[in-house]
Amino acid sequence: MSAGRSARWGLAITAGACAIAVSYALQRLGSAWTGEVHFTQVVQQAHIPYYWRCGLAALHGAVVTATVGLWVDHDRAVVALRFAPVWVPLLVLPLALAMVAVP
Amino acid sequence: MSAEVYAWVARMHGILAVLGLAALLHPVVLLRTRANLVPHARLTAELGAGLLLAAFAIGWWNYGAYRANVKAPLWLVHPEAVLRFETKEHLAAMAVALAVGGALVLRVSGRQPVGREAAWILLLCGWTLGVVTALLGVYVGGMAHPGW
Repeated sequence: MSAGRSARWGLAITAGACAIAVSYALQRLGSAWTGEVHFTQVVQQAHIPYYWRCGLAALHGAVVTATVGLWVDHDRAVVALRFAPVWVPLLVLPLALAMVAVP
Repeated sequence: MSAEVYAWVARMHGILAVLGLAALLHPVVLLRTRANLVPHARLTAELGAGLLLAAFAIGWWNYGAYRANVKAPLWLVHPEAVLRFETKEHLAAMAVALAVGGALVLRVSGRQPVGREAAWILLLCGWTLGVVTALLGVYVGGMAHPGW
């Protein structure tokens, strides 16, 4: 596959980028659901949840990228990429709106 | 970190983010209006994503100082600004992932139409979330004034 023509790795990176965004948002929603230290007590916290969320989301993105890149074949990747303009915003934008509602 | 260094770093963070968003608009428009991959589209996508990533990294580094020195006092006078700051951080993390992903997809599969479509939607979503992030940043920056 010549440079710039790998549908498989294109799909892998697309899925990985979405996985980072989705993982970050779900982690935040999960901590809001289960309860997080109140804003007024932030200086008393020993760790910073934002850093943990970003780190875990990056790890999830890397795992999804590697998994899709190694296991999905070219033809299936082309089909999945064709519908990326549908599934990418469907995955990401509702969660972005949820982030506005749950700061 | 001193207050002066914090303020300079925060301004650099904002300037880099705005430059990144301006650069990213170029591939977002070109990938929709041109049938083939224009060489400059890939260049500006990578430049824009790189600038946004740099702005995010600087903000990430500065976040500890904000949390330790600014967040609690700001909460006392403008709690809504603190909440919007958190929204800004959430959207920034999502925007940078999508923008960097879009630039990488354009590099690895930009010579295929489906690759350009995927890159375009990633860049568009990243750019849109980035613009909302920038507007929230302007709002929070205005609220966290020295207070005279």
